[in-house]
Amino acid sequence: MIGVGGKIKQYSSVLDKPLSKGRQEVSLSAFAFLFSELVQYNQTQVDNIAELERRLEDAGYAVGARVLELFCHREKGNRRETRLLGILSFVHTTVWKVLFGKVADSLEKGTEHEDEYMISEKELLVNRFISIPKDMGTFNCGAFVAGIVRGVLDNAGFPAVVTAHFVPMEGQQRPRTTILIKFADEVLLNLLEFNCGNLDVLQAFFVWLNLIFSSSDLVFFYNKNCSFRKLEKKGQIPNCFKFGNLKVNYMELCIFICVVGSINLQNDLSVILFL
Amino acid sequence: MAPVVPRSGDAVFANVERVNAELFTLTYGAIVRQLLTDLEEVEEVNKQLDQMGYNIGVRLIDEFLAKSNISRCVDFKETAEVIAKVGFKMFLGVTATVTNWDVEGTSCSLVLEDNPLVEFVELPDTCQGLYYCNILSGVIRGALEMVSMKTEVTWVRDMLHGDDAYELRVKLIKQVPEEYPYKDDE
Repeated sequence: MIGVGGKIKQYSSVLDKPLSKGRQEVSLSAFAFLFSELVQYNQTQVDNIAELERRLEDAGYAVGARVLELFCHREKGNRRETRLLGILSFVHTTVWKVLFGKVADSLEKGTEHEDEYMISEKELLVNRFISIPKDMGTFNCGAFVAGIVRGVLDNAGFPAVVTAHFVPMEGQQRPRTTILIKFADEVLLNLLEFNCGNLDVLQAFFVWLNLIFSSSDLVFFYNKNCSFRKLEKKGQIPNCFKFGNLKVNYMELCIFICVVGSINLQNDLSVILFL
Repeated sequence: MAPVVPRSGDAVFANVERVNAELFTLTYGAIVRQLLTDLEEVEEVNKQLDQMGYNIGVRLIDEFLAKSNISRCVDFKETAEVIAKVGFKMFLGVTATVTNWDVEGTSCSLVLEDNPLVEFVELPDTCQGLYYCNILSGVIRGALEMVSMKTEVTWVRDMLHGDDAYELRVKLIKQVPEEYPYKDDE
């Protein structure tokens, strides 16, 4: 017997505790029981299906926000996706794989609308042991997962409306679940914001490099809140951010800007670069 | 038919489908947060968590008995051991230790070395009265009630309150005699 009598190490704060590797598992039924309680509890708090879905989504959102932080730190070495497709594939691949043990079945772009993407799953984990009573119509417990997706996207700077739907499949008894992602207008306008705290300086620098090398109709400015903003003309999404293991600190970045760009220092500390 | 052999917690756990513990942890966290927002009073949240646990326990016992092949325990001591070694392992992938028996053998402590519910958790000052893992006590109470044991489960130590382990006190109040549920002519 291992561990009996052994003392567990105590930490004064949860932050001192080393981050787990994320390999620990619990039984699927434990999760299913817990999830069913979540749904049942929320059922007692609402009068209609829409409200119930909204509450489940809220619960999921809280999970998504944490998942983004955790996975970016652990799986991606503190790098956060700044491109639309990048973050979508992060959700489809990394998030799905860690949370549900597999990559999502498919990630598609909506055919009718430019701003719509769909992640489909034949048998969504949370719907595994759930059958919807007839009188509850189109209710889908996948709203919880939709919330997770929205939490990830929103906190990564891509606000979106995310909903879960059942899609009947030919020859299959159970419908598959499609998570529909409709991005907010600002995302569509290709306004991307790069938080430039300590972590993302490198990323911002990459974007900057990219601007210089790939297109010329771009505006790039730096404001008081320490964030880099980039306005792009539609259709000119930079296609590559890969710069290998290049490491650049903040000083080097500044020097680089001084050397290469034309800098316009204004009273409010904004630097606007027109390239 | 071959005799049914009780299976160890590890064996059962290795054979059931599993999910990432973080999904479980974060979902539980979302539930607790939702309860705190809805109910406002920490006491009410404790109660609701216990109730949820009870609901789970009532259903969970079926799966537990079906998968572990465990038959009737001879006494409460064995019951406690089974909960600690098989029950916890089978569902949460961790085991507990049974200690601190009282002289009558009706109450004991389950000490959890590892607890997947509390990863990433720290209680803010406003929630100091919260028993974050209260759902567990509800589960044990609910499950035992389904096998005719009325119990009282309370938290003695909680690492989130600065203690050095998680300790649940399980007290057997009475064993309800089993009644044949149907009349003969029905």
